[in-house]
Amino acid sequence: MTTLITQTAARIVAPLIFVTAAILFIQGHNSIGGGFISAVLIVSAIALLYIAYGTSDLTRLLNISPSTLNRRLLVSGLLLIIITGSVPILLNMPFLTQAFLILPPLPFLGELKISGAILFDLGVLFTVTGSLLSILSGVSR
Amino acid sequence: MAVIIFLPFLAAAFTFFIYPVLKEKTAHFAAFIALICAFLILNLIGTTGSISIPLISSLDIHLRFYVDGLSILVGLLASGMGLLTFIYSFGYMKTKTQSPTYYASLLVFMGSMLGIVFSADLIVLFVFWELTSLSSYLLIGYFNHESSSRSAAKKALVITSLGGFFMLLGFLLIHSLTGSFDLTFLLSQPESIQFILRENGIFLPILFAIIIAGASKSAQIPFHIWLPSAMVAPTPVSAFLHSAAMVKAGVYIFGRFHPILAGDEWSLILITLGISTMVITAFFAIISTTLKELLAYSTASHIGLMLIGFGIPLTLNGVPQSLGFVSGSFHLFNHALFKATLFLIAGIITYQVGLNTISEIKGLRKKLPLTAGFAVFASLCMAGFPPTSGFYSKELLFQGIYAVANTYGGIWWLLPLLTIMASAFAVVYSLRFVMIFFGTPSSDQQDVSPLPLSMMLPTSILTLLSLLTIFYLLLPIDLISQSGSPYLQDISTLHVGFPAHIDPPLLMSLLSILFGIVLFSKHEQILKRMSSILPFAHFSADSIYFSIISTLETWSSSLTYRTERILLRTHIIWLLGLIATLGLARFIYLKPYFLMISGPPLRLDFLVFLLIIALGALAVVRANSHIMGVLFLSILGFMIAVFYLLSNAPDVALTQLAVETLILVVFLVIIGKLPAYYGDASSPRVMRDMLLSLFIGVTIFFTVLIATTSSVSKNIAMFFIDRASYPPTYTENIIVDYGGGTNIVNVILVDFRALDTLGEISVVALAALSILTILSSRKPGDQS
Repeated sequence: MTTLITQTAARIVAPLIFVTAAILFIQGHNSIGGGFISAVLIVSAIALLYIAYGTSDLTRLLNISPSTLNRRLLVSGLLLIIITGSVPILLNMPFLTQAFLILPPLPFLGELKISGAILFDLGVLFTVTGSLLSILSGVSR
Repeated sequence: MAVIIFLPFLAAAFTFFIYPVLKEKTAHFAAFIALICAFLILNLIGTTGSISIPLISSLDIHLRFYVDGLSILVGLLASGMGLLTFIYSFGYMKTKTQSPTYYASLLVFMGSMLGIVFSADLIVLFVFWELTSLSSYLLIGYFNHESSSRSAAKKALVITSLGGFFMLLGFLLIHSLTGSFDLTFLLSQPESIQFILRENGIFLPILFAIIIAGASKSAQIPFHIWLPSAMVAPTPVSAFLHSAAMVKAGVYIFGRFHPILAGDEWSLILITLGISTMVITAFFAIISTTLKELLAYSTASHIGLMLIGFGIPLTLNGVPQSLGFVSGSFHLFNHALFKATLFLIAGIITYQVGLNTISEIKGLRKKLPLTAGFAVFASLCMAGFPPTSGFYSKELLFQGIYAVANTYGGIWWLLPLLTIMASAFAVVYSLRFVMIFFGTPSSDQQDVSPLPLSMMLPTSILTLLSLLTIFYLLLPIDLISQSGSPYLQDISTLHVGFPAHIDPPLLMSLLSILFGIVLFSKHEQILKRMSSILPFAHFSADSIYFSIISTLETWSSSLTYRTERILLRTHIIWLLGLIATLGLARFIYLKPYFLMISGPPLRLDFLVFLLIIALGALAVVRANSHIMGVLFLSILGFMIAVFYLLSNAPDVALTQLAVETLILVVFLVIIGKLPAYYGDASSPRVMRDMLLSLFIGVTIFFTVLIATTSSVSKNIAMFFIDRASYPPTYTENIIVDYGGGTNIVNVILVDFRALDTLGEISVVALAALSILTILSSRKPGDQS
């Protein structure tokens, strides 16, 4: 299916999907979105690129074999969650306790609130992306 | 306390990182760890008690530790022997293939051994028990390119984990009545615990379970077959696992449960088991051909003797006495010292001369004078010659055995007779070991290379300790007597030491030594005459094991062939069918009235979309090509997304949309690889598939019904609504109690129920890895 039409379409659509995924990820705590959904979107975009360009081009682009990359993503996501989740244990709180930080008001931005759960969500994102990409590359081989 | 147990495990993990740097010096690192453990345990001497750290409080599983005389004794043996083993390994392993696995598994083994002796929680104890089986599996099969190693390792694992299974069974039975896994609690009132167990009729099952567990680990008949096979392991491993640690874990269990289970049945079983093992394996030791085989059988035989000790009744003629318990533990200590020495010497001989067969080795006295001296001393200990330490502990055991026979009379007089016989056998095999150092050496033996200090040092230390025991006989006994058992009060009345006048136990010792020497001078002729029946006796238990294993293999492969053929759909049919059956059975069992359902009234717009969904499902079934099928399926999926949207669940709807898109894309990727058409299916198969899908559909229908009608407390919903967002007023900048987000669903996912989410994505990751495994194990052209 590596026709010019799919390639051109993929070239335009894929970045859009990536941006959407990023927005959904960031707003996830307060609105629709979250780690899982953005992971699924990212994988859809990559799958689109697979279809349009084939896996070999992507491999050359990333300079790493996709299957290795996928497995690394998968493992690092789980590790991220376990490591960040273990920090509260040191502070005598249960495993995976989340906290959020309220920053003092900044010019233009106003009062910012940063949730520690974003790291957890990032772990979810990594793991799901890695898993789905592994499956994708497995079935398409 | 926890440090002692977890240090070896931590060090084992580290081994893999430091091995590339240290190479064979990793042995020193491991020895250092063992030294720390031994030192920490030495510090515990004189203390008794327990501490508790909650682990899984909802299941009443705690990390409890229990310290008393017996655990300190076995713990000291495990860590001390570990230390010597690591030192010895440095020299011994130089000529062998090395890998960090060796040191790591030895460290794990030592840690689990310490875990067994110090943990006071039965479940934790069981876990450590299984860990010793597992690490010994790795160690026995260390030379894994040889099939004999692999088969021996498997044999040890099968037999000892069978014992582990029975142990778990026993522990669960104990818990079912006493409601406690806490050993401290159980040992604090052993009599009343035993009374409760007996009242409810589960005392005997527990007794059998614990005895099978201990006997399998300590290589008692009929489980003794794994020990001689395990001799394929590197010699330091044999010295550690098969003289001082692994087999002693079984003995430790007998000692630990002695207060709770001791009674008439206990004595009868243990004495019978002990004496039969003692006699039979002593005989096998006489006819064995290699050094290590001889030592293995003699280990089983000596443990039989310890079991008799633990089996000696607590009261004889109405007088309470602690003879059995103390003498069993005392012999455990002595045996560990001299048997480990002999194993190390066997290793030295193989290292130096390159021979292991007894009949080929002769006259090593001139080449290895110091080793010969150590060997003679340790062998005399093993044979129980006065005034070695082995003599004293045997003397104590003979006292108990004589007392038993004297009290019960009748057939019990067989016990001292058989003991004398087995001890005479012990003299014979000990002398066989000694004789390799005498006689004229055959000419074709290799020249002796200089012995590394690291191999000589542990051997000398062990011999020295054995020697010291003679002068400080009371030291190990004092250690044991801390045990705190209620019937150890008469410890001071025990007579330990050289008997002042000739009494029956001394007579037993002398008789067995005399008889043994006579037998030794004649044993070769006798064996020649018996040679026709020997192979049968030698292999009977082994052949039973192998026939059981091969039968099981045949059964399981035929069962697997029926349920899980190569076809993927056969797997799926069994899996889904089973899940549906279990699920439905559970619902029927739980809620026989599940048809009385109340819910929100049906909305008209829902009905429209449900109709479209149903039509889409029908169209999927009727589709005559893959593309059509996939497209109809995605109509179905998108409609479900709309359904979610109508139910005020935008998050779920969005996820459903994205997943649906992804599935479509994946189908696009693989569509070229699929056959063009499903092919004509035979009508019975269509019927079967239809019935199965109907069945699964019914199960899911009821699952949804029951899940939606079961009432959830309103408080939970209110809690999440309150806590998901920001607190109304706050003073601090870091807030833990509140979620800090306005999307309640996501806050629940990443904050309140984060552990569930972690579990879910772990499942996703595992599923991905298994799909990869299945795909990569598939050969092109497979029908699946």
